[in-house]
Amino acid sequence: MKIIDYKALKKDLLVAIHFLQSANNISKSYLPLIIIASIFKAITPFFNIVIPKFIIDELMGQKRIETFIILVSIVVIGNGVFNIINRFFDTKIDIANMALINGFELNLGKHIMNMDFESLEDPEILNKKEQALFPIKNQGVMQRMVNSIISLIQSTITIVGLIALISTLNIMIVAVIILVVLLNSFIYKKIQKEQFKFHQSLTPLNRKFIYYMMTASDFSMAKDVRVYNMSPYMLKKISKFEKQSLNEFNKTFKKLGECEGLSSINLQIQMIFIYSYLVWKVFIGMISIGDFTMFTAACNKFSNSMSEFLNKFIEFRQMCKYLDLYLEFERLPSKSKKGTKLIDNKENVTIEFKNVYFRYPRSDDYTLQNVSIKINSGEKLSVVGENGAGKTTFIKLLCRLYEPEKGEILVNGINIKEYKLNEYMDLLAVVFQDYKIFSFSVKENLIFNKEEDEKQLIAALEKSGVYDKIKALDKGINTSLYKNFEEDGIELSGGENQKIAIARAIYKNAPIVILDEPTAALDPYAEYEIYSKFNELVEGKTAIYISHRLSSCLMSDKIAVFDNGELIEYGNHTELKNLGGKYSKLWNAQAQYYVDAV
Amino acid sequence: MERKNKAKYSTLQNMMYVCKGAWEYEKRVYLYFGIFTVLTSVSPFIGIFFPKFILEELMGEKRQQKLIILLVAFFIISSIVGYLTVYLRQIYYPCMMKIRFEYINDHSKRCMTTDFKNTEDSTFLNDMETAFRGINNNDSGIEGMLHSSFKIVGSLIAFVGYIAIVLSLNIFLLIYLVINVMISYFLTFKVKKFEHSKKDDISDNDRRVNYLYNIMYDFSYGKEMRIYKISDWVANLFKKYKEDRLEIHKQIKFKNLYVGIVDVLLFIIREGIIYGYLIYLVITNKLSIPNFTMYFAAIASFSDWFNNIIKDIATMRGQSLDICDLRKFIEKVDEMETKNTMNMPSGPYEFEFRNVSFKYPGSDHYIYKNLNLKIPKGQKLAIVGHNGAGKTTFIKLLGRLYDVTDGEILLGGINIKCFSKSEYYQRFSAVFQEVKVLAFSIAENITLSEKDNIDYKKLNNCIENAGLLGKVNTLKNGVNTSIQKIIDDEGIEFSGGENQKIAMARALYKDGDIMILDEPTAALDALAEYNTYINFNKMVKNKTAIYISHRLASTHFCDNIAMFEKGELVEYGTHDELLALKGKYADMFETQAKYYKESERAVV
Repeated sequence: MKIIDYKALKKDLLVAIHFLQSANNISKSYLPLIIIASIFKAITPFFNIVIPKFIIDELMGQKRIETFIILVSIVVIGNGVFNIINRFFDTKIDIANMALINGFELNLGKHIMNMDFESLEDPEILNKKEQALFPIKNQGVMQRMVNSIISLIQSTITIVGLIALISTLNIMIVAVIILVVLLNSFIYKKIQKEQFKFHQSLTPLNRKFIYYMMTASDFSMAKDVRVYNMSPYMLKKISKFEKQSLNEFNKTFKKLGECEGLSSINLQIQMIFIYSYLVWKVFIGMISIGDFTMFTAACNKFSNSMSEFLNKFIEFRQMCKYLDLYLEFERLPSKSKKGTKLIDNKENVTIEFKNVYFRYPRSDDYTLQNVSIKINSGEKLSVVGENGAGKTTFIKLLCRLYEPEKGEILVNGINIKEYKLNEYMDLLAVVFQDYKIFSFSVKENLIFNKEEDEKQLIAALEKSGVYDKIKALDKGINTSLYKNFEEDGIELSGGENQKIAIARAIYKNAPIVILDEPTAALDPYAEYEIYSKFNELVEGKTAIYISHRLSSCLMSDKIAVFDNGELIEYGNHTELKNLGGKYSKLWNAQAQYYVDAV
Repeated sequence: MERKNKAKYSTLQNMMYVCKGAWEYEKRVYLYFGIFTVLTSVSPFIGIFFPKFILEELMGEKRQQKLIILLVAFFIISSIVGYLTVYLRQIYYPCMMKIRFEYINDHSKRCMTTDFKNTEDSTFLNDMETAFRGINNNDSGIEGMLHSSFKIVGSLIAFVGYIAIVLSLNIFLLIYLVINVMISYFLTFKVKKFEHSKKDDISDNDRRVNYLYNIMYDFSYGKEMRIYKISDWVANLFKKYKEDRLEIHKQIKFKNLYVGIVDVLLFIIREGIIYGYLIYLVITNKLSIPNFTMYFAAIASFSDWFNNIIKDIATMRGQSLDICDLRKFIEKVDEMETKNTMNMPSGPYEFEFRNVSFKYPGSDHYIYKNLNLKIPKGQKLAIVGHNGAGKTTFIKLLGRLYDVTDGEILLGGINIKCFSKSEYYQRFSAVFQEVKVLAFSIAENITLSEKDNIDYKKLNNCIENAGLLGKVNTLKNGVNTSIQKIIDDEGIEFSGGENQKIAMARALYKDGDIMILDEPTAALDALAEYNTYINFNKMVKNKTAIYISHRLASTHFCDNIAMFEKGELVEYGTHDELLALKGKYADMFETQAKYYKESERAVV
């Protein structure tokens, strides 16, 4: 019967090693720091164990004052000096811990920002992320991991020192100790099993818990929650879930308690054997009273260190499991886009899709099937179709956020996979349907950290029709948006935000402009503004425009109609309207109310 | 800018609050944790007294029997105490969780039921997040304070024991020790003050760092990050603010270290004096060696215990502040409930806005000034106007999510403030602009009830009317399919348009007497939009309905149109009347119709 589950232990140790390696990458001095600190901490207790023996021996013996002065000085100053050293190291480690955690957060953040885009839209990856982060954010896993490692090193050194000390009396004592440790390992294995089972059941519970918490505090749902009186319903669900969790918890922790209790009794048995042995030794006059106090102090300390070691080891294993999720997430591979080519002509860009097939990961159905289309430089293309027809997917492929399964996408005749990714991004200025406005200044939302060209900046804001509003603000273009970065930021309306997103795309001045439902939140006038300035906005550029508002198709050179992932109609407005097909149907559905009214 | 004023509750008050809560929610905590505390405070004394007794016997009479009894007693007592200590430490943990869950529920309930106006107030949002810190982990806030309270009690018990021991030796020794400890406490206090002075800087920094953390980690920022290549910039900003925070932390920690060093110097002196004194007593035969070891052990632990108490009190102070935040949030009084509520009349309903003026809390700008508008029974009213003209605000007032600043809103002639909020909300069915679906089954999303309470026939009708039947029929689990994969791995993700249809089905199922539709077709394609319009009448039947949309085509279906501009009702009438007026509505309609008509003319 295996005493220790080597495979699981090996796995945990690998996690710990990986963690320490990452820590080392963040700060080369971290590992040496914690090792040295542990050594000093481990040595400190020995002053109070060893020196009193000599004092007592002297008290029972010659009672020489000079000896007392020397001994007391050693113990007092020794304790004092080591105390200062320990506090110093504690401070350094505390600061290093914070720097370490900062480093980890930064690295993981960078990893996420550079991940393959398709991972971001994969609910499984999202799930992995939540699971990896929850314990880190809410249960201080990193701190506990580091603390347990330090405790483990320290306890080990102390225990080794104590064993050495105790064995000067009788090496058999060490044998007794080891026997008890082995006994404890059986119990310990049971604890591990319980913990693992608990951990397994905890993961889906945590997921639900996070969801309930986030939903209850999601104020963007506030209107619905009140009008539909969702509160009692949600609270009932939360209670049910809590009861379920507590049931699990109660059972598991009871078992854990029993196991640990048993383990502590084991230690007591060991203690009493050693103690009795020492008493007998004094009884038959083989060791002095001073030795007795020293060895009993050593045994006490030993017992404490052993339980400390076991406790921390259990915690260490538990933290390894959490960190495993975290590190696994960090290790998610990127099929990194290794293109190397530069783009030859950034002014005139032609795009071509050649028999492109695409389906989302783990999906059986193709979202795009056999799509072939050519967009010439400077051409304006409208993309229309019903919900779910594949329009946004078409855009995402062009933006190299995903790669086609079959077929090719060419820009200026070359497969876009072959271009350097950074270069390729320079070609695109996109306003997505779910665009994001950042809580930085208006200016920064357009230029981010690039060189500022104030003329262009203002021109872009004017073209999108939001400059008047910005000009009127106290801080003008330096006004912060939203309040979560600067407390004096302002909140713009949905339509104004959309105009800022459009200005961002204009400012970038890229040869390909893509707008996905850019006027959804705009009133008819604002919408009209965008349309009428549209040609001005995208003058000379290759533009792709997705909209349910078919009136926008009139400004385009060509219209592409998608249906169930296929490109079914292609031509200009007049051609397609007369075709009597899908486009015509969509058009009439919308136009009838405006035209009838004439 | 006004900073947070003094904490509303003292540490002691919060301690009482937490203890009362613990008693109410899970009395077992007192049993388990209580015994645990007593045991842990008593256990060090076992290691102090037994060795003394054994030594005394060894140096004295050396009676075998007595030694054996002592050893056995030592073993039994240590084992019991040891076993119970670790056992209790495990089983009280779920009890703590139960208590924490109760407070989490209070927090969630408050989030979901507080006055609507609070949900649009960024200070409140901040308060909610700060409050959450009091309940989201084991070491701070509620659970932390419970731990600390028990620990302090334990430390006090042990402390009394130690005092008794030291007193039995020499009262001056006790006084010296106490003065010693007081000095180090005073020094620690000064460091705490310094820490406190940095609190505002820290919370500013925390806010910024949290925002940056969120945009790095939130997948929905992914597209912009890549296309505008801003990930390096964001990472560097994050790094910079984190470094700033680390600097502050360093300053605090090093100040603590300096105080610690002074502490150690005092300690060295103290230890030297105690050792000297005790040795002197033994040499002059005033003290036996076993007692020497006992006193020494006790005094060595004395200062540890006292320091523990000081540390625990300081920790409790911090936890108390967290709890103040939590209580501030949970106990916030909602203003809008009236005491004597009237019964609501039955529908269909007629509304009247009488001289209504409204501005958002904290703003000087009036959205409405003296608005007068009547909505007769069963009327379908379209609300149109520019962005920012006040359309959604109108809905919020009608739905009593906000109260008017001046004037009144009457339902069947009675001021709506006279009715109870929850009964009033009962009457409304709404589809709002931002559609939110829950990660439960389709059926639950639409009916918002437990499985046994669902009227499946009605459910299916609503699904059909909302245009979802086709999609639902393709699903393996039909209406029991989960939406999103967050809770159920086999859940499916719906598109924006499908989500909007779910919201419509929800509105239909509730079958409220008043229907509110706020841009319900924004995410729908032309055909789905068309179907919605066709079904519109089916949906609203003879109810009173309010319809906001930028798509002026939809206003056809309404009996009347109210056009708002800058908070004023500028035009009111039927579609044809307003077109004939050739005023603002006509102008807006033409603007939108322009391209459709041009196209028609071009073809013709």
